[in-house]
Amino acid sequence: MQLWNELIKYPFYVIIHPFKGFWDVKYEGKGKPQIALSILLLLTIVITLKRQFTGFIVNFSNPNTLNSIDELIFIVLPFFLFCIANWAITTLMDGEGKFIEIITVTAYALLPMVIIYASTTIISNFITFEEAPLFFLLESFAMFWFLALLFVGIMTVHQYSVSKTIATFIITALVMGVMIFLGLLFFSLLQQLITFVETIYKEIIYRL
Amino acid sequence: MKFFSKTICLLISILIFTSSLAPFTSAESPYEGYNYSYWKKSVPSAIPYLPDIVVDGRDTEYGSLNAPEDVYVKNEKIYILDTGNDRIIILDKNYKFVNEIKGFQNNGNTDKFDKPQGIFVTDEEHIYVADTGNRRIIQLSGTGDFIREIGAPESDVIRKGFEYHPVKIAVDKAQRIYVIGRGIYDGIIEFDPDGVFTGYTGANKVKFKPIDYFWRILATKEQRAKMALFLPIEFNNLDLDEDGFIYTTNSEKNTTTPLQRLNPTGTDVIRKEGYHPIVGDIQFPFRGELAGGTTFIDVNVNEYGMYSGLDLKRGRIFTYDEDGNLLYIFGKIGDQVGTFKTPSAIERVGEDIIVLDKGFNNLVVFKPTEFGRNVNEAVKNYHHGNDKESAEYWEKVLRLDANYEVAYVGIGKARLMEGKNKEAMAYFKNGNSKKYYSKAFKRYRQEMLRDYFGFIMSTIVLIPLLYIGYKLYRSFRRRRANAVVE
Repeated sequence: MQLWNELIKYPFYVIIHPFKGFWDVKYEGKGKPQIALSILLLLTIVITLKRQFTGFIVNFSNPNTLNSIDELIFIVLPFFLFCIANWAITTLMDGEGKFIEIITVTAYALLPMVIIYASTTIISNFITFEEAPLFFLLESFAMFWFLALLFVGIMTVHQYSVSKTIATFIITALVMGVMIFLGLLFFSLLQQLITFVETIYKEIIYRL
Repeated sequence: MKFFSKTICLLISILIFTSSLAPFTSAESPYEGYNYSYWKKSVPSAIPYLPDIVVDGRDTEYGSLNAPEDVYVKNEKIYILDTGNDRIIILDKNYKFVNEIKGFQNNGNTDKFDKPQGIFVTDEEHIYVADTGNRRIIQLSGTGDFIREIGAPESDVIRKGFEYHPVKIAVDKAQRIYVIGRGIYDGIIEFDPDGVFTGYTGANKVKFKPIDYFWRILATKEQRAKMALFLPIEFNNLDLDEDGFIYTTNSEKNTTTPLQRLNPTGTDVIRKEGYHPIVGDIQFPFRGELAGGTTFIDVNVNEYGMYSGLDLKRGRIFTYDEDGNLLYIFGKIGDQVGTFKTPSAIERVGEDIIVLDKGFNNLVVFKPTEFGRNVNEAVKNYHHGNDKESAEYWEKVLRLDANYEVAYVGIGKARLMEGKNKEAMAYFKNGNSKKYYSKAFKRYRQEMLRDYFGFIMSTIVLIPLLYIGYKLYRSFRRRRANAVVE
């Protein structure tokens, strides 16, 4: 029962009481990275299922192009990209949050999306075109809730003011862009290097 | 061994003999059959029309055609406007020669056409010709006798530097005359039955990008003078449907409305219920010789609202139903029979489609295949409200092309009418029609709710009752336990 309260019920407490909840995550050691990663995994599963099983009327994804690996890339990768970028920036900007705390907070903030997306996926199978706005309202509400939680969470773990948090978010977005650029550059160079070595190897083989 | 070789020889000869005797089960088509799926991908489809005969006037009493610009079909007669030879050729429905009009008596003088480009024939078989070179409209009787001529429009609203070159013409049931002039971007020129200019109709709106406007503000007067003007695009062809609506084509680049259906006030009222905008090809190259989308040059609408646009750029014919569903595509630029060089006009003779090619100086007659015929019949029956018959034809279409989404929707509509909501839902899902699926689902849901109302209501009432009962029971037990302890 203790475990149940600590692990399962606590994330739900956080999403309703973000200020107190995230404070306790930071100072009372209430957040668990295992739970955080489970939430992330759960979100990936829910979004994959959502793409496939959302009711026909509001499902705009092409079944021919559905790919679970893609979902992984579009959820897990940005998640860690954000965490790393935010950690890198806040370290320079006197943030008090540790990397593990940033991961925990970001993942806990994703919980409303898991809950609402799971329920909208079920609801969407029982609605008509006229009721579709309700579905889209719920979807955007999930997004809004997530962003609000993320904001409060980041603000709390770094002990920032509101304006500084906003600034950090903007810079985090920029850093994410830079990281993607560097990543692409790295892989492109690596690719060329491999081709180069391969060509030299072939050339030598032919000459010998 | 000898015996074997003999039997083999015999077998081979039988094989060769029978194969030459066997009828061609599927005639080779000079073009590929394709259509666009709901997901905007071009997918293979059955061939809707095949070339049948080619009429070019060679070895006939009327002689070869020369750069013909327009053709019109009325009362099973085909009127070819042989522009290069300044004459009209009238053929019957079997493409046999009936009459030829080369000149006419105008106020006692012999008069003739000068490179006319547009022709229209009314129900009374009066022939209207847009006599482009002479800048006038000529009205002739069916036998070619001169009735009247209508010159350039005269009015205060006509801007300065107006050059009148009538190229296409149509006359509605009230005898109003609609003329498209070359380089006239004000709209379609409209004359009343007496030939008096009454105004323009259906002018295209001027479109410009904000960035262009920004540069225009920055530019100096000299620079501005050299810039291209923001002009509305001109129409290039027209046709009238049964209800007197004008179908027009224009060749504006990257437009979303190259085919328009104008109501009497000149507003585009074409129905866009299909999967994609009515623009012809959806996928096309952005670079190279054939860059850019479809360029419609002519449109033909038939008696049940089905219309076909003729693409000048790739020689394709796109046929839509009255709701704007793309039904089928055929045709190609090429050198084979049934392909075009410079297509100029399209018309229908019954179910046959005829295309005039001014590059090859001929008229190609296309006959519907089994697939094309079934699609046409299905659309026709749907137009007349015979949903059931329409669905039967759509089922035949699906047997020939199981990827034909419009057919699924067609069958689904019929099932919906019959009240088979669940079946209809499956068809609409296959046809990717969210709108109709929703309608079918709504009815199905109502049906289900009605059938299981008692069950649903009782669960809704029973579950809380059971829960409360359980709670009461527990508190009762606890109180008793406490009482015992005391």
